[in-house]
This record gives sequence, structure tokens and C-alpha cells, in this order.
Amino acid sequence: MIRSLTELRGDALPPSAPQGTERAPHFDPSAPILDAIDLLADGYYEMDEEFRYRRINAAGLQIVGKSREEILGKRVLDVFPDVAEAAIHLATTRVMERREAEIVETYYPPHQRWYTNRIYPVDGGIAVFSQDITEQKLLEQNLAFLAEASKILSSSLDYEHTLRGVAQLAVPHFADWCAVDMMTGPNATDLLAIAHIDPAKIHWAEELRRQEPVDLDQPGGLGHVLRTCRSAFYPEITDALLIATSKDERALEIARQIGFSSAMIVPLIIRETPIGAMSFVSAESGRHFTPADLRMAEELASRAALAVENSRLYGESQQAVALRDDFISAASHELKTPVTSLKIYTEMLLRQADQRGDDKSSRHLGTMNAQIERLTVLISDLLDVSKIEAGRLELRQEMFDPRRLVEEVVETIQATTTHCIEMTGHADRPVVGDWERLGQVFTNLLTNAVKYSPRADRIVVRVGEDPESVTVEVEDFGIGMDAEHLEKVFDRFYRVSSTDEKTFPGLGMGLFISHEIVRRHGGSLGVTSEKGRGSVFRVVLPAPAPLDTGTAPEVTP
Amino acid sequence: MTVAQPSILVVDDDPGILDALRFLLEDTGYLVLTNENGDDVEALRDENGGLPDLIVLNVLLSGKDGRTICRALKSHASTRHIPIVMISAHPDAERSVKEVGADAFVAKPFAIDDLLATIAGLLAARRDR
Repeated sequence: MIRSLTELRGDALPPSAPQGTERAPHFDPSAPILDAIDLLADGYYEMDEEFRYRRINAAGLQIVGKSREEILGKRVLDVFPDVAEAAIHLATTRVMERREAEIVETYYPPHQRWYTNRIYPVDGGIAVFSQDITEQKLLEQNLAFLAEASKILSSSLDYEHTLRGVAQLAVPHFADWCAVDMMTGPNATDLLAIAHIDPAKIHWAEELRRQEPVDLDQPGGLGHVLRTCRSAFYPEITDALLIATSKDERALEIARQIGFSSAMIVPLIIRETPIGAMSFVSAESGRHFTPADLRMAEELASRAALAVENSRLYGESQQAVALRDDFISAASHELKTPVTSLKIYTEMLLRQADQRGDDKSSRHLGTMNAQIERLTVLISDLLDVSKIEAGRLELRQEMFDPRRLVEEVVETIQATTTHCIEMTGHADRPVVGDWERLGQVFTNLLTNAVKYSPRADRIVVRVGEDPESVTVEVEDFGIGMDAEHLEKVFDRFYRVSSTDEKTFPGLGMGLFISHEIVRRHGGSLGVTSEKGRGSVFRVVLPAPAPLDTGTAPEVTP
Repeated sequence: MTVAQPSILVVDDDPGILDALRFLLEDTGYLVLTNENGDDVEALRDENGGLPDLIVLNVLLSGKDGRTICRALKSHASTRHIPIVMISAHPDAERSVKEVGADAFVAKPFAIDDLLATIAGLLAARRDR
């Protein structure tokens, strides 16, 4: 005997649930037809232990599509023979046996609607509340679709690829057909993507488009959307509408063949200019798009347009960067030609002045030559930066003794400075890499050490090794750097400048290039520094095998 | 061939470089011939009193590629023996000039001592042969 709905086991009842209604335990044909439960918006029904309908409310009758007379007192499987394996029936069977409440979500295909069913054990049977969650479900699906589409749109800067992905994602859950048309000229479009669950139909549609391109001058459809930047929405496409909008018999025949039931065309707009449109068509599913679907499609289109714009802007910026790199490359090449002549003449005059014993001229020409050398390094650095940016920095792979390279660089720099360069430590392991390029790194570090320690008189170069690597440290006792600069000092074009002392000229290329060269060797370039005390730059290069003195280091068993 | 004053043919499309190299090489004691655009260099023949003892050849010439000239000279029996020093403002050109048979590569801009040492080395090697 059911005593009260409030005694139902399980969680919260809907607030509108009637309280304390006494009911007979069996079907009573004389019971009043209008019942308190009829006030419930949710479907409500009770079954006895034999799965016979004992009570059902008006909303419940609407869900199952039967009259009270057709249902009450009947077994569920007699009324609906095909639900034996359905989730809802399996769940009610479980609740009937175990006497524990369950919640089960179901989809009812004939009505294309979703329900949340709360099934409770009650005296002598079970009671079910069926809440229609179709709107919420569609919204959820749309939001999930939008989220997934956004993920695709942001996955790549290749918009053609991402828009195809989005069209593919739209079918079949959101639409049966999805097409993306992009404008290719003032009055021309190109079909970028068309998606349908059946590849044969895609092929058919593409063929159709080839034979009959879209006529943008037509008063409606795609042309209208692109002209007005406003969506076209056809929630219900009737045969009459097809007849009215088809330009000829053949078009009508095709439209009927597709079996349109609903359609939306939404424009893709960048800065108030249409760049294309997305079309969503419902056909075989019989789904009718709602205003909520249109809002969703418009939201999707605005995100897609943004992705297209990002992609185009990125393409333009890449082009600009490539143009700049080409320019730098050409410019540095052009600059080298006059510098070559200048250098030959200067060195020749220097040689002649030396031969004459003209010390004053020698000194001046020596300075001139050093300035030309600086110019040469700057030009080479410019070229290197553009090469690094374009990924065209080539490195040789030779095995050599890094200590010998460091000694050579120290010797060269020592000849140009009054600082005493002390070299300590040792390393026996060879490194594999580009002698010239690594020489460039050590030259850069030593040149910086001299430049940034104008009042010091020495620089220390330490060479060391461990089983995995060779380390070269260059320490100066100069102006040093604040911590804020340490992380950025290897960035391209970064220049340390401060107001409280004189700034040192430079373009911020040397350390960027050095860092890149060392990184490309699989090593690292780091720095520690203290303002006013000096800096230590540390190059670590991988060096897995010990140097086999004198011969090529080959591992033999 | 005059051992005392070896002749060097310089091919470069930049007149400034040609003048500077002429100044440098003549001052060093070489006999210098110049050619601005590489015309006829591929078909260098012993018509006007001998072939040069060495060629300094720029990689990029207006309208011509110095490497094509180098390959042609190195594939012809009568000019194969002439040492060729290729020069370029593109330091990466070194690999490609070695592939066409150049004997040496010097990147622009260079220290004159580097170029002179390279030239002297090649001439000495040829003399010794």
C-alpha cells in the first residue's frame, strides 16, 4: 500500500510534487481522472510489481503518446513490446528488484526528445518521474560542439584545414550537411569544405557544385547573405518554398533529392567585410533548426572568421619577416663588397707605412683597420641573425680539441687588448661541432669581457670537463649586470642600458648569436653576474668521449 | 711562364674590388689581368702569350656564376692545372666551390695576408710539382 509520496526512497522530489496523497494499491477505474499529479510538468507514472501501469499523469500520457484507457492496468511490455531492452525498462526492473532509487537518462527517438527519469521504489511497485531535458540537452550539445569547434579553430593557423575540420565536426549531430564557402573575388566564391556523413553524397555535392557554381546574383541564399552580411534562416523548408526558390526544374529536382527540411546560412565577417559563409542544412534527420541553433551557428561563424583573420595576419607577418630577412641578407652581402675594397686598401697602406717606417700613419691606419674589422663583425652578425631567424644557420660537424680553439681565440684577442687574459684548467675531451662558429662564440665572449670591464686589467678563462661535457668560463671584473638583465641578455636585440652610467654601444646581436650557436651544438650558454663586480659567462658543450691523443678518436673494442 | 713574376687573372664584377686587388697583387709582385664579367674566361685559351698562373674568381658575377666557370676550366685539359681561388661575400659558399673543383676559398672581406698566403701556397705547390 502506498501511503505517501513523501515516503518514497531516493533523493529530492520536484518541489511541485504533491504531498501526502493517499492512493489505492490497485487500479480503480472509478478514481477521478483529474489528479494532483496532473499538475506536474514532469511525466509521472507508477507500476505495480507485475509492471502494470497503476497511475499516470497528463504529462506522462503526452510522453508515451497514449490515452489513459490504453495504458492503465496494462503491462508495459504489452503496450510497448519493443522496450524490453531499453535502458528505461532495464532500470525500472532493477529498481523493482533491488528497491533502490535510480536515475537514468533516456532518449525517445520518435519524438527526438531526452528525459531524465528518476525511478523510486514505492509500496507494491515503482514510481517514475520523467523530466524532459531536450532543450538543455541540445544546448549542452551545441556548447560542446562550439567548444570542440573552437579547439579545432585554434589548433592551427592553416584556416583552410581548420574550417574543414569544423565542417566535419558539424555533421551529423548539428546538421546533416555543412558547407563553407570563401569569397575569392568581389562576386565569386569557392567551396572550401563540404561535409556529410556519407562520402558518396559529398562527392555528389562537389560534382554538382562543379557543374553549377553558386549564382551570387540570386535574390536569396548565399549571395544575399554575402551582400547583406546577415544570416539566412529557414527553420522549415516546405516543398512550396523549394518551388518558389528554385531557379529551374533541375534545381528543384536536386533540392527535392537532398530533402531539405531546415537550413541556415551564416556569414563569415572580418571587420565588417564578408569573407565567406557557413551553411548548415538539415535533411534526412528531419531536424528543424531553432533560433538557438542560429545563434550557435552565428557564434561559430564569428569564431571561424576570427581564426581566418588570425591566419591571414600571421601569413602577412611571416611574409614581412621573410622579406626583412631577405633584405638583411642582401644588404649585408652588398655591404661586404665595399668593405672588402676598403680593407684591402687600408691594409695595403698600412703595409707601405710600415715599410717606410712611418709610425704615425701606421698607428692611424691600424685604428682604421680595427674599425673596419668592427664593421665586418657587425655585418656578419646581421647576416647571422637573419640566418638564425630563417633557420638557415648551417653548422659543420668536425671533431676537435676545444682547448686548442680557446687558446687560439685567447691569443687573437690578447693581441688587441691591454687586459691580461689568464687561461687556466684543462680538458682532454673532444667536442663535435663547427670550429669557426664556436670560435665566434668565444671571440664574442672575450670581446664583451674586454668591452665591459674598461677599468679592470685582467680576464680569466677557465676550461674544465666532466664525464659528459666540456666547460669554458669567461670571467671579467667589470661593470656587471643587475639580475633583471640576466635572463634577457641572450634575447635578440636586447641591450643592457642604464641611466646611472654610460651605455655601451651595440645592437644586441652577439650574445643572441652565441647562445643560438651553443644551443645548436646541444650545449648551453649561461651567465652569472654582480653589478659592479663583473660577469661570468659559461659555455657547456656535450663531450661524451675522451680525446684519443694524436689520432682520430674512434672507439675500438 | 715567368717564375719571377707569376700572372694572376682576377675575375670580379665589382670594379672597386678589381682595382683594390690589382693594387694589392701588383704591389706584391704579380702580373695582374682583370676581367669584370667572366666573359670568355670559360674558354680561356693560350692565344695571347700564355695562360695565367692562378685565377682569383668571385662566386657571383653579374649574369654568370663563377662556379660554372670554375667547373669548365677544371674539366678542360689545357686549363685544369691552373689553381683557382674563389672568393665570396657569402661565407657559406665554401662547400659549393669545393664541389666545382676550386683549390681554395677566401671569404670577403679578408685580411690581405690571408689571401696572399693562400695564393703563395698554391703557386709554390704548383712550382714544386
